[in-house]
Amino acid sequence: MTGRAAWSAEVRRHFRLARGAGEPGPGGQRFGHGAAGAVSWGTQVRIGVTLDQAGHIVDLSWRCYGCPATQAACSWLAATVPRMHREQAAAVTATAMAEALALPAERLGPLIVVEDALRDALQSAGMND
Amino acid sequence: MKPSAGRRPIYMDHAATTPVDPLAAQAMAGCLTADGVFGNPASAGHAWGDAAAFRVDSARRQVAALANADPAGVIWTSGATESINLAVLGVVRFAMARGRGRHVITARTEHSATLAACAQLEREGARVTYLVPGTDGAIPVQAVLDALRDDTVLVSLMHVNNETGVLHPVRETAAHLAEHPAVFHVDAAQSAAFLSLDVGWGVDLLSLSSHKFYGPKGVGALYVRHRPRLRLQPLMFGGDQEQGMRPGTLAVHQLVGMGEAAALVLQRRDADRWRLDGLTRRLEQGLLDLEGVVINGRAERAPHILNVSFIGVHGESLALALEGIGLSLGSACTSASATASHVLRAMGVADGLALASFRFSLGRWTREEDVDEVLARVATALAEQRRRTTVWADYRSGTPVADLYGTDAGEAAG
Repeated sequence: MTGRAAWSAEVRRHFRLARGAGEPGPGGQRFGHGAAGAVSWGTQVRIGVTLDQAGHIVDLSWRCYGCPATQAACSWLAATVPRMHREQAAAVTATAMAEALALPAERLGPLIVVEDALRDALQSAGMND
Repeated sequence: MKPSAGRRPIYMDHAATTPVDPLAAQAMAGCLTADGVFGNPASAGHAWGDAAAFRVDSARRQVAALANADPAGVIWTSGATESINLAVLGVVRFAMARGRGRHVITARTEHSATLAACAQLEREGARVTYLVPGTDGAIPVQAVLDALRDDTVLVSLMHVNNETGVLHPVRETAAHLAEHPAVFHVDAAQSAAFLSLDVGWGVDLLSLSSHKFYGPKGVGALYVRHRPRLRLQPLMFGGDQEQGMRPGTLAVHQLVGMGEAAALVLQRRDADRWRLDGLTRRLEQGLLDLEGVVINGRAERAPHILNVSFIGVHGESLALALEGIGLSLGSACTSASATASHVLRAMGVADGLALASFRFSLGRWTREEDVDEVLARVATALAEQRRRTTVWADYRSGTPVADLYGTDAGEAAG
């Protein structure tokens, strides 16, 4: 039993706000659902995205099993990607999330799982075109 | 500590350390400055040294009384880690050097001080049997007896497990070992504040830590059976202090603080035990009323420790949500890769549940309203975390715990 990690102010803010947290579900014209990771890895993420007819993201919701950085990254995505075009959102990387949340390099692992879940969700939404 | 978000900080990590009792601190302060007892107790023949030696002798008697021990058997150390190292390494090295045996019995759930000392002995040629606990956390006495060999020189077990609070029946074990030449060492770091101890039961060595019972950090004691005298190989060499077992000038203020704390424990041990037992039961019942809570260590426990796993949450995230409550999280989480507790793993708890385990440990000044406040904060944080997690959604959809976490989680979750 040991001490706890020191989290950045941005991680703490998004952890507290938890934008988009909750059950992803069909909420609009086109809905995509993505998943990545596993409990045994320590990180599991499920993301739902709703697109409008033009391919812009209307809403992003998520559930995850993960550390505060994982939850903060999901919240940051929910606050950042709405109004982005699907292709623009697909270019959001784990590194960009880490920079936005002032996270050290060793926390990139869980963020890559978040990135994978986002791409999976966007691809899933695209399949309905 | 730094308060969090305007909420009252509540300390529930007394198994990690306790605050120094004000009476002990006052006694210590009288042993530091020129107007107090600052002399070197080894400086016999002048008033300053004699006064210090008198205080050290008094503290030795106070600490010995905790375990109904002969004060002559008490050796001062820097804490339980040193006591355990001196006991384990000292006994086995002494025996191995004389060809008297090289086998040690201990348990996988022991403190890292014992496990690391045993690992060192293995590198030096000793053989160590690590007993495996049941899923309830207990080490059966029969398992100890079954592991005994003709060349067993040491049995080292903790009285109370520091993570789960599970008790080991020291008296019963000692009685069974009476006919065997193996030395019995008990790590009593977590039990001295609450449980009756008597080295007369057949305990040859007993490790104590001052800061676990409201004394200062940096001081502990090892009781070594005095009659018949048990011989150890010392870890350090120097002067003849502590019968040559632990050379170096004695830190009088530390010893006096530990002695005063021990005297206070003896005055209030039974009352503390029953009061804390009631509070811990209140906490346990309140936590069990929340869905998906698993008690780790369902065998008989010490009154001040409760270890639980919360299904459906990530330990680090719940820990952050519970900031402001002094708790121990059952994982090392200062880096990206967390490590599950070796104690819970030995009990068969799945890593995912071990990583979501928390140790609540109550203390002398914990009040009923603290318990109720903690329960309220845990309920709120748990509900919010579970709203966010995949695992809880799957659990509520009917996925068995064993499938969520793998291995024997289902059995452990009961």
